[in-house]
This record gives sequence, structure tokens and C-alpha cells, in this order.
Amino acid sequence: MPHSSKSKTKPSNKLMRHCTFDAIGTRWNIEISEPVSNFTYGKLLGDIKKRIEEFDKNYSRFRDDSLVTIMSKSPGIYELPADAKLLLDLYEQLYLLTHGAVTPLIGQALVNAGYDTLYSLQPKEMQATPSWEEVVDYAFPTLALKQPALLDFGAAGKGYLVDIIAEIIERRGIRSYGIDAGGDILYRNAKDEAVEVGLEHPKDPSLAVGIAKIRNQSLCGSSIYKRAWGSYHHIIDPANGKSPKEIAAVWVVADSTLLADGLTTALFFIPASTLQQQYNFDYAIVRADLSLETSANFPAHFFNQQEVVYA
Amino acid sequence: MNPSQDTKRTKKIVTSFILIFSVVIIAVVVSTLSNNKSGTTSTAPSTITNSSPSAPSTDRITSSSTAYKDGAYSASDSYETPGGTEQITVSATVKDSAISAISLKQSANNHDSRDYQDMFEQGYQSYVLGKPLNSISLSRVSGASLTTGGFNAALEQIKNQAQQ
Repeated sequence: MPHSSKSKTKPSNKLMRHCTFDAIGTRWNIEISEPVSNFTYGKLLGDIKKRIEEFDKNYSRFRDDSLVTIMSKSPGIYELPADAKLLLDLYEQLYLLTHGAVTPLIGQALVNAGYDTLYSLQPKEMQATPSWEEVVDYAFPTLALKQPALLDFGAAGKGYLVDIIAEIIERRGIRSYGIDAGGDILYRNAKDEAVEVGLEHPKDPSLAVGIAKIRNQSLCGSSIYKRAWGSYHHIIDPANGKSPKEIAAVWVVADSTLLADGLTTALFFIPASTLQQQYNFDYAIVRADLSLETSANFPAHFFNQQEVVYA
Repeated sequence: MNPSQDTKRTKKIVTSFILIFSVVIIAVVVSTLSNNKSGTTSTAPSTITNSSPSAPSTDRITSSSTAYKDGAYSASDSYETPGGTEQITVSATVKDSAISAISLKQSANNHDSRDYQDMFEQGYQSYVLGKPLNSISLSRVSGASLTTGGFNAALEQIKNQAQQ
């Protein structure tokens, strides 16, 4: 909302900016922490909205006209959009590392559990999730579906979109900004200043368990108590058709939001040490008994007894 | 000091510590769940106190599954070590029928005991504790993805149906 009055002494309309909007099922906050003109800001917002729409139209299984919905109805060879490479490459790697636990083929299981386009949240009978080899033949820029399959990019798609929006912002010459897509956060600062982020208590959203400090990095989090219904939540183990319950929350700090988001899901299934051999990241895991495991350099302070005071 | 003797002693202390520690934990749990305190354990005397003014005294807490009352509880116990008598206090905070915080307080005089208590305490401190978000005033929070639109509405609908 531009509300700069035209001052006689300083005719500049350059301001810091902040906008909030809903897209892809979550709340977005974008903050530009360096002065930007009305013109640039207007253009930038237009670009961002357009790009989100394009991404949603390709990868959202919640819309009838999306590429993944179309693909789910007719097997065949598809030419993928240019931005699919980074996303699919990561999914393929995580599929192999997690022995199939992280898979885009989980779409149908999520639908059967009730996480469908109508949000029916009514679990139906589960079917076995097919293996990547059975269904997918991926060699960018093409992806062949050998049988109908509903692809779901929920594990890393949002993080990837955050990175894409960051690129759009940087194309306008902006170097200090923050993007928060429902708790998946990318923060860039030209002076390498850090931003503090509260880490939400997995069982009580009115509490924080600690404060993370990130600088020119991304932080993604996932917890099993939101987006949860019946015995399910947003992650389903393809091996047994159930939602894992041993881990309550996971946070990952990495250089890209795509990676942070994808690893967050992977950590629900395999030990961090396996992933650390492959990727550079820091993590924190809160198990269902609220015990905490973190990597040596996870940039956060977790509250201790002295700091926690109950009324 | 003879190394094998040292190891033996270390083992002995760890074993006795673990034993005593289990007794304290069991005492806390059993005493909280049962209104028959005398039947808990026959070892060292343990005292359980509830320092929260709003919560009822522990001996009114029944064993029904929803009966954990919010409040702060603590239990102390003393135990013998090769270095003398030591005291340990376990404190737990119950919120919404679940233990939301737990801590150990030590009063070890003996150096070895202090080290072992430190070890235990560090292990115990690796449970997350919640602090009200409004007391730390941060504009950004990361946890489960915030949901907007359809999902929340659908969830409310399901909950309403379940209540009918």
C-alpha cells in the first residue's frame, strides 16, 4: 500500500515494503528491507503474483487444470516446464536416499487419506504406493508416466517456490529482503545481518521452544500436529500408508529453501547422518516425547528451565 | 589410582545412580497417579510437593487418564554414594495433562557425584520447553506451515460433525 506523501523538500517515493497475501494454501509475507520506488515495487508484485500462478498451475494437485492433474489422467510422455529440473532432481535423490519414503507418487495416498481437492478429510481405503521405477521414467526435460499417477510436490514444492520468488526479487536489484511462506523462511541481507525466528512448540502454537538466527539462509519447519486429521497428517509413509508419529517437529537450515523443505520431510524417515553425507545443512528434531536432537551447528537457542516461566 | 579400581568405582556409582534415579522417577509417577502414597515404594523417603497454588494437592489426583492437573510438581530423594549422602530433586510442570517441562536439581557434595548429576541434567535438558510466544515478540515464527483457506474450514467442519 503506497502512502507516501509528496514532500516538497524530498520528492522521493522510495520506501521499505511489506506485503501479505494467501497463495498455494498458506500465508505469505514478503518484506523488502531496502528502499524501493513505487514503480519497482508495483512491477515486482505483479511479477510475483504471475509467477506463483504459473507454478501453481503446473504443480498443484488441488486444481483441475494443473499439469499434474492432467498427467494423472493420462499416462504418456510429458515435456516438463523449465523450472522442473531442480525440483525433480531433488525428489529423485531423496527418493533413493530415503528408500522410497520421500516420493512424488504419494499423491494418491494423500487423496485416499482425505487430503483431496475438496479437503474431504474422510479417509478411504489405502492402496499401495507404486515405486518410482514402476511408474516414472524421468530424464529432464521429459517425464514419462507408465501408468496413471497423481504426483504430489508437497514435500519440497513450497520451498522451491520461495527460491523462485527470491530470484524474481533479486532481478530487480534488491539484496535485502525476507520471504516467509507460512513458516518456510528465506532471508537475505546485504550487510549479512541475521534475523531471529521463533521456533513454534509442536504441541502448542502459543509457545516457542527456541529462537533461530539465520543469515542469508533458509529455514523450513514441519510439525505433525497441524494439517492433521484423524490418524493422518500431511506426511504419509508409502511403505505402510500411515502418517509417522515418532517425530513431532523438524527444522532445517540450508542455503536453499528447496533443499531445506525437502530435507525437512526426509528427516521424518531416515537418520540425519545419512543425509549429511550428501547435503550441507543443519537441523533440529523434536520427537513426540519432546526430546530434542540437533546438529552441532543448528543456529538456534532452545529455552532452558530458567527462561521458561509459567503463569 | 589403580585404573581397574577406578573403573570399578565408576561403574558402581553409575549403577547406583541409575537405580536411585529410576526409583525417583517411579516414585514421582506412581505418587502422582495414585492416592495411596504409602504403597509406592519402600526405599528412601520421598516428598512430593505441588507448588502451584491453583492445582490441587497431589494426593487428590486420581489415576483416571485425564486427571493430571496443571501445575508444578517436584519430588526429592536422598541416596547413598561411596562419597556420602546426596540429594536430588526432580521437578515437572504439567500443562494440558502432559508434562511440558521437567528438570533435575542436584545438591551433590562429592565431586564424582556432581559430574554424574551434570551428565543426567544435560540429558534431561535436551527436552524442549515452551515459552509463550507473546513474551518473546518475534515477527517470524517457523513450525508447521500455516494453513489458510479450505483446509482449516474443512477441519472445523469435521470437528463439528464429530460433536453431533
